[in-house]
Amino acid sequence: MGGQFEGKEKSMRILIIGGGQTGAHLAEKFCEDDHDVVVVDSDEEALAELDTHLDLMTVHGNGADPSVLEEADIERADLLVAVTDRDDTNILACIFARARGVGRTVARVSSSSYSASRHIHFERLGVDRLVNQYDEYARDLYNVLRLPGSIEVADLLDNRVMVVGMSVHMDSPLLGYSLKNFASREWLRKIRFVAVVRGDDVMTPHGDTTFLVGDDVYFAGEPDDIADFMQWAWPEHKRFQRVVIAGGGELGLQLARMLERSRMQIVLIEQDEDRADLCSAELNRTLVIKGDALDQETLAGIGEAEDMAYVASTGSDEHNIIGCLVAEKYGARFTAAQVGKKEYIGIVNQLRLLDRIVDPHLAMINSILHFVRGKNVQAAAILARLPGELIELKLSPGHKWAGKAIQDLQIPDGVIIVSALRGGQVRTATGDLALAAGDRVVAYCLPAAMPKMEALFSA
Amino acid sequence: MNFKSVFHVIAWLLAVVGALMGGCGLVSFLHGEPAAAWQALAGSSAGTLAAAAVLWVLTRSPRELSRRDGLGVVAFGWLLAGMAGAVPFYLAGAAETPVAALFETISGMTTTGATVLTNLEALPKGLLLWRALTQFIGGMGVLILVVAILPFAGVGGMQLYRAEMPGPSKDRIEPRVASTAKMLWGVYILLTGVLLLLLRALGVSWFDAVCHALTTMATGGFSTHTASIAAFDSAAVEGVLIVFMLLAGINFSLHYRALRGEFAPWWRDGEVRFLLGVFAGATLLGTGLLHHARAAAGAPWGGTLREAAFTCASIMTTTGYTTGDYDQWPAAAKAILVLLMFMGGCAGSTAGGIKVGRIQVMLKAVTREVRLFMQPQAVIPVRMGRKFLGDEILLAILSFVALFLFLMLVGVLAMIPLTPDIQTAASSVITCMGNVGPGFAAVGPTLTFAELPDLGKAILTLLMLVGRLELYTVLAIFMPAFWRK
Repeated sequence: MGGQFEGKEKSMRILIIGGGQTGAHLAEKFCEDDHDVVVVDSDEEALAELDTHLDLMTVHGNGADPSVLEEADIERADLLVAVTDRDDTNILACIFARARGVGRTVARVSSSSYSASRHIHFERLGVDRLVNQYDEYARDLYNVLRLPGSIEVADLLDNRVMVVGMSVHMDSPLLGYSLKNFASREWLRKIRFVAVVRGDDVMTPHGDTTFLVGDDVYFAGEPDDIADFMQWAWPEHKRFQRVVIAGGGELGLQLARMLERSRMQIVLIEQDEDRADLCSAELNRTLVIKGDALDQETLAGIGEAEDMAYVASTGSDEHNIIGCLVAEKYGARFTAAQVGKKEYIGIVNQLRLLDRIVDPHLAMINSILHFVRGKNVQAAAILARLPGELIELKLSPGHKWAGKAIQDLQIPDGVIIVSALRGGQVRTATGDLALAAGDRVVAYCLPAAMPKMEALFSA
Repeated sequence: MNFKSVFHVIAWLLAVVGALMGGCGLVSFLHGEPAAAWQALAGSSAGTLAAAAVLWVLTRSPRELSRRDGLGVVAFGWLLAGMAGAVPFYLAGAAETPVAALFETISGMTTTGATVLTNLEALPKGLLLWRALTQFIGGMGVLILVVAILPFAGVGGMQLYRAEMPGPSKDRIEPRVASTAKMLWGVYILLTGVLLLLLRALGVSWFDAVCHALTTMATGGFSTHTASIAAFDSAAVEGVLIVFMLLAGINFSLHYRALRGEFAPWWRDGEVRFLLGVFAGATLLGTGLLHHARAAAGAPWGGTLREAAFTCASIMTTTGYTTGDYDQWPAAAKAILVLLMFMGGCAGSTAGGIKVGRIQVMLKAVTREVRLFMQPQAVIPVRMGRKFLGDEILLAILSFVALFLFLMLVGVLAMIPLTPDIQTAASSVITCMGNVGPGFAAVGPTLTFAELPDLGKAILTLLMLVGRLELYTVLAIFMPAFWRK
């Protein structure tokens, strides 16, 4: 959908290596976007499952086997996305794809040593983009820790704008009011409400939409403004003072690196001595502790803190879940765990055992979609609990939106213009903002409104 | 099954059928044929289009087709399209009873080619063209045509493709089912066009060339002459037809690849090799047997070879054209023809029968069992091409073959009281379920199915559908689970 805003883009032939969770999710997205999709996987059952639900072709075999790639007509593909759980397979598939003339390639890797390498140029080898899944999860978690209480967070416009989802509680100052009531507030000039999720319904909020208890509201703005707004609207969510990370694997290490940019105090617990040494060498102001995160003494040794967040990112789902429960007992206000098994995710959510599960797939899918749609649409994001999409469009000169104020535009129902980027400056899309040619505009679209937007931008 | 979604697609299907009948009516009118002829076609066309329009309006905004719905569309769509297509045969007086008219149309759409019409030369050209067209649309699959030309949402189109496409593996040549359908129909039409021009170049009249091109590529076998291909009495025409019947009996996705410049898959395909090998073997053996029988009469080798080659190609690809009365052949030669009827063509072709691929797998599985009997520790894989077949696929293929033979047996038992002799009963069932056309004895190549009672025609009509739609699609509608919401 998103790829078709500047003129009707020709549909691509996309080869997906790996039909696991990530591959299946991507395949679904690509099919929706009207691309020709071929999926290669060595698991026949996974392929059969895909084949019954989606209009795509499947090829059985190892994705790094040239003969299998030939069978999948690799030379006709425009894009190859390699998302098996093996780094070497993914990278090899990309290299082979480039050798057979595939225009663009993306590989998922889990080891940071690939992306960190300065001497091996993956682009020259044929891998246009390495997506490190742990980087993506880490960014996801970092966003949540940065904005306590948020349901989810997504970055847009080169991280200049963020979209945040929050729940409206009993004592929220928003409760019972509509946006009209806040017309005099200064934040309304800087914060744009994108969507309200009420039960199973999703609405695009208008001036007279009233906020109720249990609503999930999504709003967008520049990071500083968002932080100020949240201080006002959700004062009970104080910023964390300390983050404890259990597990110094790729995810934990990457998260600690990112958190070092903030003011939070960071503790990283790692059991393995060598790994702990490596972590302490890599990190600057993080306190690295060698020990078992489930051991009471380890936690007691850190000392209690009031505003503590706990992130479990060891390799074991079970360890992570239990770790979070223990940490809660020790006063952690927020717990998050990396959980890979689909079966666990449902149960953990149902029992409300922890505050947040790091969905290993969603963050990476977003990142891959950003890249794939890169030509005309610089960024797009899907939020897990919000149907529809955030799309970014560039106003071409002569487009009928150029030069008009937002309030004068005929915007299809179910579409909200969020913000515009002009000359490196973010402008909140208030009604009186006049759009100009060359603006990069972010809009939120409900699924039903996508065809109308397509028509509007392909004319 | 969701009636709304199912009958919405069927409305489109009826529209296609109605439009084609209308075209035939126009041809009939332009040829200056008697009013009764073109009015029968025009009237049926108008009625079908009206029915389609009403159905379309009643079923607007349908849901996405589920897998079950796909089966429903194909099973009921074929039946309803057959009924609509049968009307002109009855109205024009060509078929004596409605059942006979339905038999003729379903025989056309399933590309069987068994006929109840005794004097084709006396029929109006418009009706003969419609008769040839029923085979053409049924050959590659009329619902695949609908998927190709109408913008159906992907998943729904996929269900139709799966339910209508013959063969054990439903490989696609393009990722999207709509493009796959377009390509297959494109190749189909292209080959038909080439054949049309070749026949024309050999001096066949335009009308005959069109009708025969349509029915050859569909491996249907309806001719415009009562004497079938023997009416042309031309070795060149027969030679061209042999080549195109064989092409039509080969997987069209291989033709598609060849047209794109990839010839290797075509030559390397195990099914193609097997098909051509069986054709060569059957022809040589048939020629030998025929020559032996006719040696006393001093028949020349050349004529015998020509007759054997054409008959083997026609029967094996389940076309059903004839150049001679093979019912007069020696028993051993007839037995070869029966075996060919069972086998049919390749998966993904327009030919019927059990399909070469399944026969190959069955033979390999049987060989494996025998070898395991001698050497229980051996590990012997069963492959199809280079692909190793797991037990699940093997079981599916073997049970298909078993079910096919079982249904045939049931059919033969049902036909015995309705036919003069067992040979007629058996061969009528084999030829109809295999979508071949003529059988032996009372339904032999020089005779027709007109003499069978209506009940017999109805049973054979059902068996033709069962054979063309490869058992399960038709059998599914007899299951209670199919009808549940």
